[in-house]
Amino acid sequence: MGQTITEKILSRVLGRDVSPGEFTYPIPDLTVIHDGYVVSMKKSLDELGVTQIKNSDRVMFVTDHEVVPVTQMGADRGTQIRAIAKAWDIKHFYDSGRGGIGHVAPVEDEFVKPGMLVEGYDTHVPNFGAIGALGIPILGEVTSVVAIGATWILVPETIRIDLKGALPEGVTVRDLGQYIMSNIDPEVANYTVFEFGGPAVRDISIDGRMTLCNVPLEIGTESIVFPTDEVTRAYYTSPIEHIAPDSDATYKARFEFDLSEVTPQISVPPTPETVVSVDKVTGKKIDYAFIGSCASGLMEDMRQAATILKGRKIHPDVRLFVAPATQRIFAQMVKEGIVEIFLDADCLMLPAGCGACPGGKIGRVSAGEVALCTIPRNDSGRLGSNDAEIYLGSALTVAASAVQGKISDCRELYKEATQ
Amino acid sequence: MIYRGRCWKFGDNVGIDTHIMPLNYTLQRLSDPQVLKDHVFEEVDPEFHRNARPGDVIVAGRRFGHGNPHLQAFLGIRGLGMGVVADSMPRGAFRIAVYSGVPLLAFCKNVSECVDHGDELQVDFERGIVKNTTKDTTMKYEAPPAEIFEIIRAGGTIPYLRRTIAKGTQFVKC
Repeated sequence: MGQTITEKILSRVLGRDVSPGEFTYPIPDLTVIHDGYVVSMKKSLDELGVTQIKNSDRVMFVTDHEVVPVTQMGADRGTQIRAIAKAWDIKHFYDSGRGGIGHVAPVEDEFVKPGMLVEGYDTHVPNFGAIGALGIPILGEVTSVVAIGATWILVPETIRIDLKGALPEGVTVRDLGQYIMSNIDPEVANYTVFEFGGPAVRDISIDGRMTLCNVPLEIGTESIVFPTDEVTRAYYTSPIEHIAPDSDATYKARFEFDLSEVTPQISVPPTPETVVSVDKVTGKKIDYAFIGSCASGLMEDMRQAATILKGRKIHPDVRLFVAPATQRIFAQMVKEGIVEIFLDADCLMLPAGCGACPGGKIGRVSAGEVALCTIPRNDSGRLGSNDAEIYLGSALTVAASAVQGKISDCRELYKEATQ
Repeated sequence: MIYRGRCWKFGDNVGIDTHIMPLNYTLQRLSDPQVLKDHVFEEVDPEFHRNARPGDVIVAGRRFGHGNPHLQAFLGIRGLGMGVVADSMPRGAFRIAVYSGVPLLAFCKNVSECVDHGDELQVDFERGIVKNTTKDTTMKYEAPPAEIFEIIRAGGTIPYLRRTIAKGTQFVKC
């Protein structure tokens, strides 16, 4: 019987063919643990009497949530993480200033490759699906992986999503991600893996694929994955494994989206899946804007925002923070003059990493403010105060809205800027 | 594993950060169920933790625990000694409930329509049986796989690991 990409990867790891619903203990090829959990995990392992972790060459620590600690507690945590990394001989360690977001930088570095099973303490570890790796967020169960070498995975069913057509001018894959999320019933999506395919996939870059492996996750999807193709092969400097589903693979459901029908999309409070077309919220005044995160802090997003911000100033009532997902993206932005464009526009550059997204570790919002961001989630407290309203959209939408001081349809400014 | 207690009824779309546990406690990286229990549903009902009793059961609608699956939410519920029965639960919530050792029936279509707040319930989590003593009705649902239930019965992932390590079980790549 034919297999989906997910079934193929799990079968390879487990050394036998698996089917959806099976209870398994696969040994991941890599487990990524971010700075918010390393110390807690160490505490649990101490209680368990575990002094040496299993498969340490397959474990990665990443400091991306609090890259620049602004509290003593944060600074001390950084020190503890460094000591733990040394004690456990963690060879893959992206500390502050190294790499960037833990599910973006390892792809840039070609460390994560197609066909790999990557587990992690981060809900957005499925970003790795962009290059045909299966990323499964296992959260606190990373403790099990380092203590005994694995944790449980119920083999998920797969939903096939075919993409056709082309995005209209001024509409981005971020809009497509939000559009997809709002058009699939979370009850159907729950505990499945989305597998992308169809003719439009070849027009979507690795950056765009990361966005699509990230944004729709919020409806309860286990993971999201793309097959490898010429885009993936061109991304890597050395030959890669080809990953694709069998033609007779079994899917729980199938969806098809025509990209030409997508318009700029906005997630309104209180959940990311509450998505409306931008015209429903146009004119809403904003105080705060943020471009960054594992969803949309990639080179393509930065280039898009720069298109709008070039030669313009953001509205005097708006603060716009920018955090590139990785150090390399930041460097590339400098090279392409994008940082200068942002600085000239009165934006604030944050260090590479998660930026304000995880609870406003840096660049917080205050009570009563309205924020428009490219981050994956908009739960209350996500950027600091519980009493701020958070709207989500593409980098183009955020840039255009920051210029106009209110949520705006970016297509007008985009057209003007690209003419 | 049978819980006998009162029903705490919730509607659809109860969120992790938005309802169950304010994000603030997650960001403080609290992990002691006995500390976190006092903050469960704090912003929805500040008296919740005082009124809830061990053995009581949260009966929720669709997507109980949607949003970023921060462990603190279910560690708090574990601290209260409560079980969870829901029309549905997203994968992340399911995972952290198991981690926290909260007995659960995660996929009980329309169960929330068959109970009222305060009903006396008897829930056999391993067999998937929800008995409403107040209404004298019994409903049967799919229970979590036996392997998952072993983790919950142990009290969650950490106590389960303690046992697993003692048995010498490990998964190591040669």
